[in-house]
Amino acid sequence: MTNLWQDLVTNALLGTERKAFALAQTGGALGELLNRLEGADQALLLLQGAAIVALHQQAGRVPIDVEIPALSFCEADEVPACSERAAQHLALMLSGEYRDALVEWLKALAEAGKRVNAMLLPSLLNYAAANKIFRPLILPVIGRRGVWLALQNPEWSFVTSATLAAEIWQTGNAEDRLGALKQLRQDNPALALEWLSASWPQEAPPDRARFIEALQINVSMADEEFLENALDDKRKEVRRAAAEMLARLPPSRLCQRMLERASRLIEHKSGLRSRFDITLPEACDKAMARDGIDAASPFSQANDKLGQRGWWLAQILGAVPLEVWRKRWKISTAEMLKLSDKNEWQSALMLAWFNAAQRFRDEAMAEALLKIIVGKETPLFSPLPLVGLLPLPRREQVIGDLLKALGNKEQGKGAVMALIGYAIHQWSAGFTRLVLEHARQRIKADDRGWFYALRTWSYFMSPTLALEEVMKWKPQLEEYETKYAGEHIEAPLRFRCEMLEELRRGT
Amino acid sequence: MPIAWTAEQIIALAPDPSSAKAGSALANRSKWLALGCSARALWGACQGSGKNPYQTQIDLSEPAFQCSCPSRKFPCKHGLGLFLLFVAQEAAFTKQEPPTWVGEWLVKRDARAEQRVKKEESEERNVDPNAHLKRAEQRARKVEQGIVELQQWLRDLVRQGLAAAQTKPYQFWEAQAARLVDAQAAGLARMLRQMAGLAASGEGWQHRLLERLSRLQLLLEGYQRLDSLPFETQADIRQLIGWNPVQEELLAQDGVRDTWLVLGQRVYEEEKLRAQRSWLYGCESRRSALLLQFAFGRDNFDITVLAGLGLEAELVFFPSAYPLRALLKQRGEINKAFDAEFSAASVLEIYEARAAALARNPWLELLPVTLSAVTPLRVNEQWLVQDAKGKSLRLSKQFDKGWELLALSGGRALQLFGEWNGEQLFPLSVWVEGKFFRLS
Repeated sequence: MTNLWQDLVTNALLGTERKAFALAQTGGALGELLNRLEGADQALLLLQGAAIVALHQQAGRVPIDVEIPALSFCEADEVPACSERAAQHLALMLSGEYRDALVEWLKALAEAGKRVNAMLLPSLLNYAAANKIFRPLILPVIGRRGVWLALQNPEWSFVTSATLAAEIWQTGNAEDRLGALKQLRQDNPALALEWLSASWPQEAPPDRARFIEALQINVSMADEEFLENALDDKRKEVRRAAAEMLARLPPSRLCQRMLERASRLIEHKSGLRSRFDITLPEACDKAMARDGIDAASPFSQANDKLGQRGWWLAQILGAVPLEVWRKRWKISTAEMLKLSDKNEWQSALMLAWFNAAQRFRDEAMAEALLKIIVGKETPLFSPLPLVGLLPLPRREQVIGDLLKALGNKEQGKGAVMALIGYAIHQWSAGFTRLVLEHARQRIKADDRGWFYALRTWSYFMSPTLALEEVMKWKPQLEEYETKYAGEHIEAPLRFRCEMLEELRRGT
Repeated sequence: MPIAWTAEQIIALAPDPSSAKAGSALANRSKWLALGCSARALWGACQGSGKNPYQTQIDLSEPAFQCSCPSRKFPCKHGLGLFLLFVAQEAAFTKQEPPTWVGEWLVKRDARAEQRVKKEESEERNVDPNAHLKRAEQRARKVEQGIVELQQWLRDLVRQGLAAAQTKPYQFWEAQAARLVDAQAAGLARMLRQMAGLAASGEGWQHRLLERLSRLQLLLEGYQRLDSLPFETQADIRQLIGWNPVQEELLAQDGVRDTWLVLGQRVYEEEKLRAQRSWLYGCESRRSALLLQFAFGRDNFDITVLAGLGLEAELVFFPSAYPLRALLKQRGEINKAFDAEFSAASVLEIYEARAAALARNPWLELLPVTLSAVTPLRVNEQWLVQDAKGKSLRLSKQFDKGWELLALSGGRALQLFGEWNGEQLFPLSVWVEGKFFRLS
């Protein structure tokens, strides 16, 4: 900026009333032109001068030279980009429409061996930055271009953090370090344990419990020594977390201690009048507390069918793998539940088996428990964690059986509906047909809850089949329902059919 | 007419995002009955919430839309859906002669176009030259008065100082702008309104404001000695003050026939109107042209031009010392998504081009520029593009597709088209390995 212009601006800012204005002398063509101005009025002269100088500057402007660190460029992608139409589907979902289908689309894109085109990478990366659960899903489909791009924006560092895990572990904040630890735990559990052991004395007490919880990824006997030591930690949360990890390792010393305790408390009498004989624990001693037994029951007194000592019993039995009992007593899971059901300490036993089923991922017990508690008026625990223990095809089978058993009963309906919406995200044709047929009959009997549930399920059902089926019902629906079905059931189904068809095309 | 229409272009026609969404959802074969197409048109019937299906048709020569649905949006979601479906699954459309309802519409459209030409001719004949002259004189007097008043206002402003002006409310500017509207000098009013926000525009505001004020002063000076200036400069000054050339007169002139490539488009709000700038480039004439259109609310713009396509057309330029703005006199076929070679410049060259343009029209604000090979970069939270010689250009702060631009480039140079105001570039489109992408 020239002095000439600066003088003009300063003078204009103050006003010619306050500061008298005179054109500064300058040489060259510009000076010549300015000299030709003749205004009696100072304000006018200033404006005229400014017009000339401003234009002179504008026309004489030259580009800026900025020292810029050389930017690496991205190697070409061998994976083909998705079609323009598929990209349109993605853009629609990122804009908020049919967003619940995004997970399915990303998986289908990866399966089709294609990637997201460059134009949509920023929106997708932003979305995944804000919604962590999408991060693992986008990594297979952003291609080299996406990885390259993410390197340029710190907000997208999650893409490349896999390789940088060690660095983040050394320097990151608690949240990022936890992420790095979990990541490494997936690929190299032993190294992750080594990291944690090395930094353990320096770790802030509030973070310790969360770091221990991260060890549940690929937990093994290699972790036992470390965890056993953590049982003596000053903080209760840390001890509890360590005990929980150890309880998942049947050969661990903690499990052995628990088994010893449990063996003193429960006895199986076989024969005609087979039963469980229970001896409740007398007290929650120091050794028990060290092993993570919680002295105080979480259940409110009014609602406590267990009692305090029943609560201790449930915790101890729940830390023993169910397989131990089945072998020792030579009975089936069904038999165990039958004996538990008629026992005086029924609630404590059920809770114990529920905990053990989760801890040791015992499919047989999970399935058997599901069948018992769905249909109970006030179940002691939720069926949802149990269904998660079953492998996918089995889940459909079990929930399908529950649905059939439900018939037109009201009791247990809520639990079955919750299971349907929770357990499986891509339904098989058979399961879709089963649920829809049940829903159709319920709706016919004026149970509208099933109609509105289809809104959520429309993102899970096998789309082509479901669409055909729903179209058949249309004539029987009320007018407002037709509109609702069109917008919230049909539309997402159509969208899913179309996006999947587009991704399948040309592969 | 083998044009590669793209879904992206069609989405760009949507009057708002919700129409775009609804249209995308309707681009589904199962939603449509009796899909058909001819060389010129597309049609189909869509079952909506009404009793009878809606009849939707598209004249591809523009493209123009027509639908029997009651929606007041234009094009409606059915039109967009039908077009998108055509792009995705042309095979779903039966090639045949248009049915009666489509045929009749096309005939009507042709007849209307002919009528428009005739009407313009006949109106021209019907003008009473005396009355016309009288009105023009009246207006000239009004404008004259408005300018005398504005000159006094400007002088007072500088006398009292811009610092004092900074403390004045928006109304201070608006009142003077309104007086200029009354004086039938809408162009001057617009310039004042643009200045109203500058005082509060942050660091450097006094430079920006004085620059604008001095440019306005230059315009007033120019008007006072209008007769001594070349015809083209007179035309520039008259247009800036608010005399729009009579469209009919312009359209009666011979225009420039060419294959015009639509290089880029930008839609923005101006005084409660939606405005659209479409920048064209003539393959033979090697000229740039600007089509400016206005629409109320969600109305569609009068003529549809799509970025990324070439258009056989005749354009008539507004008289100017640096002619850019033009009217579409006649349009012919839309041809090919373009890959034609056209002149593109380096960063240094566009600075030179701007200096040359300012020498001819000192009030010129935006220059359309095509940079041949620039790499997008982000430095201190700001986007730049840099050419092979290391010369850089700042991108506009309003440009919000910086990351998309970087993603498309992959760190390599690309060809870029945008609007250049002498300080900042607003990118509108890019070419990557010969493929066109719109950024706006």
